[in-house]
Amino acid sequence: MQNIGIGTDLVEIRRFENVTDRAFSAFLTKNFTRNELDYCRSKEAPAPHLAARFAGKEAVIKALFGLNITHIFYPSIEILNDERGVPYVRINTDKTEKLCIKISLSHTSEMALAFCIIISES
Amino acid sequence: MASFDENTIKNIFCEVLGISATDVTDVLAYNSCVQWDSLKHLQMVAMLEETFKIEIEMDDIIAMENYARVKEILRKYLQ
Repeated sequence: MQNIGIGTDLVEIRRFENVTDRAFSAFLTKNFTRNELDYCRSKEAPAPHLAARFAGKEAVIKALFGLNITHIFYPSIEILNDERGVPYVRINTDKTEKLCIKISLSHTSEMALAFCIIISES
Repeated sequence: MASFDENTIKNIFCEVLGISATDVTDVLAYNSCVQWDSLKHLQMVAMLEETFKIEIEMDDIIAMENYARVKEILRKYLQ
């Protein structure tokens, strides 16, 4: 049987622009992976990419909650881009082997958005 | 690991949420304070961890839904 979880989130990009703030630096280090931070910081303007990834993590968590999976949190959710630039999700835990996770990210000059669909085989 | 210090906790709330110390009371709650959203919550947790040199478990991060509960949870780590 297939169960489907969906999640969406919207984040203001300006909230990811204050990268010198002490609380913000600690937050980034704790909740983003090294790969994610390297990717975002390689961009001329990291804020839209950080905001989109944060929205993505929230969207994944919401979709997982819809499937009654509550043990996965921000640091375990890694959102990267393949060689075509398509975002994909990697969950860094061994409890999600049977999940198919799809994510879409987008942003304007002010807002970043993410939408996630997770299919669970049970 | 540092010891429990309510003033330090309160200062972190003020710094992260951008509110005054008089607004940080036991009834200050995630679902009723407009400044306290998921992003600020995670920033606050990161600051608390860095300041007190602790690592807060995920279940406790989720359970930190008001100021009184935050203090109660931190006492567990800072005995």
